[in-house]
Amino acid sequence: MPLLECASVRKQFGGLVAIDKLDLKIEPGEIVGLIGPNGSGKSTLANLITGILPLSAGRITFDGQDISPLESWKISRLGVARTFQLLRMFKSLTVLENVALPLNPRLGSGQIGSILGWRRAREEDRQAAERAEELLAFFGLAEFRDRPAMELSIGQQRMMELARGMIVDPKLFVLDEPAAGLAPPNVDKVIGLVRRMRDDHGITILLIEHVMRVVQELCDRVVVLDCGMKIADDKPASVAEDPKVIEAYIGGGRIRTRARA
Amino acid sequence: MYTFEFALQILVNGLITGSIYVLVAMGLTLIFGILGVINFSHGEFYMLGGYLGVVASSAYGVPLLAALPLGMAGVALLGIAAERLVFRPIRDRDVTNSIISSFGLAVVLQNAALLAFGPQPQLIKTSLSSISLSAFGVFVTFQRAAIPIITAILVILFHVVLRYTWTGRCLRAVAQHPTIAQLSGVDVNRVAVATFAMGAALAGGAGLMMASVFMVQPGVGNMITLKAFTVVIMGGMGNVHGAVVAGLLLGVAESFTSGYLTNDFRDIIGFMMVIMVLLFRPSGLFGRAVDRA
Amino acid sequence: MGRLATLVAVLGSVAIPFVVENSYIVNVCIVIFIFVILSVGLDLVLGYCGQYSFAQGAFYGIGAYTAAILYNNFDLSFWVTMPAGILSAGLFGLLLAIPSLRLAGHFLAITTIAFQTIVYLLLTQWTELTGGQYGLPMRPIEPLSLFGFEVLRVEGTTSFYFLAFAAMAVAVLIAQRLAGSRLGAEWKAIHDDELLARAIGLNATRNKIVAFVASAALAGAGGVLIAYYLGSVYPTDFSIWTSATVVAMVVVGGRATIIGPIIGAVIFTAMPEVLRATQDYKLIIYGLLMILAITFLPDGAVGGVRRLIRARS
Repeated sequence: MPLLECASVRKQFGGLVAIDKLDLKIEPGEIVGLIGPNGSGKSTLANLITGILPLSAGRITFDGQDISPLESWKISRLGVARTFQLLRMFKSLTVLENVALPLNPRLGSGQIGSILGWRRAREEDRQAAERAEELLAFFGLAEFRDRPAMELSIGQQRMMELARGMIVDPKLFVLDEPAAGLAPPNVDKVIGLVRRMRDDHGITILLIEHVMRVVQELCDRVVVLDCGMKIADDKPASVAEDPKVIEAYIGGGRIRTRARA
Repeated sequence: MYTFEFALQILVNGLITGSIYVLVAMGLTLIFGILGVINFSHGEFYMLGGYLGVVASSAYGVPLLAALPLGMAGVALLGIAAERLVFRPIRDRDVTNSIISSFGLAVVLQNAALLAFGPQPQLIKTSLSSISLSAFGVFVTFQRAAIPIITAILVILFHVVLRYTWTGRCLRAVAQHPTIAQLSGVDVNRVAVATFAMGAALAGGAGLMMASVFMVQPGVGNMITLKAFTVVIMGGMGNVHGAVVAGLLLGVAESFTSGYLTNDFRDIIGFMMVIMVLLFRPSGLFGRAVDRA
Repeated sequence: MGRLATLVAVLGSVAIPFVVENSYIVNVCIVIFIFVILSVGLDLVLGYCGQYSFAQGAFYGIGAYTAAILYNNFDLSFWVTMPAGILSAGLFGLLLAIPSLRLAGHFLAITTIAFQTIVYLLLTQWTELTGGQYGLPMRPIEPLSLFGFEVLRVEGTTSFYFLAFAAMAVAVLIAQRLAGSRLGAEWKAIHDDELLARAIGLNATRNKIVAFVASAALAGAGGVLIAYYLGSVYPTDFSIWTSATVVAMVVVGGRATIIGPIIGAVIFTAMPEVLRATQDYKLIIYGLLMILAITFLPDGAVGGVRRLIRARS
C-alpha cells in the first residue's frame, strides 16, 4: 500500500490554477524526487501534502488515512515532517530547543504535567533533550546546543532543520530544496545524510530540488511538474532524456499550453 | 417622529458628522497604511486644530474661513515635529512601540493643552452661527452646512495631490510596495514627513470646524482617535476612498442609532461595526492584503 | 543569585508595613502589587505568545465590575466575588481569543482596542447594570467564615497590603510556571513563527486561547482587588489608557521575562507619585518619560541591563 497517495489533486488560487489533475503515489522506503521549472507547483504541492494549504479538489491519503481536510499540525502528528525552502526556525530558542520542540505533542504528561512540575514530565523533558542531543551529534551540531539558533550559518541551520524533522521519527519527510544556497561540500553532506535517513532509519523521502546532482544521486524515482501538471514519473535517467521534460525546462520554441481555470 | 423630514434631518446630521470622520480618517489611513504607525495621538491634532481656531478667532479676531487654512498649517507643523521627534526613531520596530510612544505623546499634548487653555470647553464664536439654512424640512446652521462642503473640497484637493503630484505618487508607491518604492528612489523620510503633515492638517481642519459647532476641550481627541481607527479599518488600511465611504457610513450609522434607538448606543455602534468587519472581512469593505495569523 | 534577590525582595516587602511609618507608601505598594498582577498576566499573551492585546484594562474592569455587581445585587462576599471575577474575566478572554486565531499584527491590535472600547462604553452607558458614570459602591472585605467559625479577617490597610502581596505572589508564581513550562516554550515558538509551529505539530490555536484566557483571568483577579481597595468602581479606571499603561509596563520593563513586567509596574505606578511634586507638569513629564523609555530601551529595562552586562564582559 502506498504511504502517500494523491488522487486528482487540484489547487486553485482565485482564477489561477496552480496544480491540476495530479496523481502521485509514494511507496514506503522510496526516495522520490519532485522537480520542475520555477512556478510549476512544487512548493504548492508540498504545502498541500503537509496541510499548510487546503485542497481545491481531489484527495490526499497518508498511511491509509484521508488527510485532505486536516490542518498542518494534525498531519505533522501523524508522522509527516518537512523542511522549508526559505529556511524557518524559532529565533528566540536555542539550537537544542529548536530540535527538541517537535517532541512536545508526543510527551505523555502533556502541558499540564509540565506546568505542575510532575516528576514524570521532567523525566520526559530530560529524555527529549537527550534524543535531541543524539540528533545534533548525528548532524554535527553538538557543540552548538545552547547557542541561539540565529547564530548558526546557513549550512548549519539547514542541518538543524533536518534534525528537527528527524527527531519525531517521521514516516514521510518532505524536503523542500534542502541543498539550496549550500556550497558543494555541504551538498555532498546533505546527500549522504538523506541517504542514511532512508537506509538506516527507513524514512520515506519526498525531495524537491533544483540541484540536479542531488536528484540524480539520491532518487529512486523522479516526478516532473510543469504548469501544475505531472508530465513525467520515472527513473532519474529516463526522466533526464524525456523530450517533454527537456521542453518544459528549456522550451521547444512553441507556445506551451497552461492549465486553465 | 417617524416622518420623512425626521429621517432626512437624521441623514443630514449623519453626513455632517461623517464628514468630520472622513477628514480625520483620511490622514490616519495614510499614516497607518504607509508608515505602519498606530498613532494614538491623532485625535490630539484634531483637538489642537480646534484650539488654534479658538486662539485665532478670539485673540486675533481672524474670521472663521481664514482661520481654517492657518489652523491646518499650524497643526501640519506639529505633525512634522511629531514625526521627526517621536516616530522616526522607532520607525522600523514593531507596532507596540508606536502605540506606546504615541500614547505618551497624546498624554503630553492633552495635558499641555489643559495647562495652556484650562479645562473649560471653548467655542469659536462666529457671526455665521446666526445664519440658518432650511430645505425640505431640514434645519442646519451655516457653519454646519459648510462642513460637508469644505470636506468635499479638501477631499478633492487631497485626491488631486495624491494622483497628480510627485509627492502624491511617492506616497501611493510606498503604500503599495515599500521596498520597490525605495528601490525606485523614493525618499522614505520625505514620505513620512509629508504623510504626517497632511494627516495632521486634515485632522486639525476637522477639529477647527467642529470647534465652531460644538466645543473643544483637552480630552476631545480620545474618542476621535478611536473612531478614526474604526473608519480606517472599515475602509481598508491605506485606502483613501474607502476612508471617505466608511467615514460617511459611520456618521450616518451613529446618527440613525442615536435618532431611532437610543443615544446611549451612539458611540458603541461604530465599534460593533468594526468588529464585524474584522471578523468577516479584515481587509476592510474595500481593502487590500491583511496580516494573517 | 536570582533566588537570593527574590528572597530579599520578599522579606523586604513583608517588612514594609511595619518599618515604614508613612501609610502613603504602603498604599502605593498595594496599587503596585495589583498592577504587577495585570502586567505579568499581559506578558504571557503579549510578551511570550506575541499576540498584541490592548484589552487588559477591559478584563481588569470586568473583574472589578463582576465583584461590584454581585455584591450590590446579591450581597455576595469577597470570597465568592473573587473567584467569580476571575471566571468572568477568563470567559471574556475566551471571547477575545477568537479573532486572534485569524488576525495578527496591526489588525489584532485594533480588534483588541475595539473590544476594550466596547467594554468601556458598556460600563459607562449600561447604567442599570453598572451605574454608568457614577459607578457602584463596594464594602470592605468581609470576614471569611467556615462552618460558622471566623477564619480570616482582612481589615485595614496593613491587612489589605498582605492580601494584595499574597495575591501578587500567587500570580507571579502561576505566570512563572506557565512561562517556564512546555506551554511557555510553545508560546515563544508561536511568537517566532506560527506557521512553523503548526508544521511541527503544535496546536497553536489552543495555545493562543490559553494565553488570552490566562492573561484575562489574572487581570480579573487584579480588578476584584482594586474594587475592594478603592471601595467603589468607576469606568474611568478601566479605559484604553489603562490598557496602554499596562502594555507600557510590559514593554518598557522587558517582554517575555517575569521580572520585566514587575519592574514596569513599579516604574509606571511609582512615577506619577514621584512626580507629584511637579504638580501641573506631572503628566506631561510622565508622557515624555514614556516616549523616551520606549525609544531608548527597545528591549525594555531587562534588555538594557543585559546589554550592559554583555558590554562589560
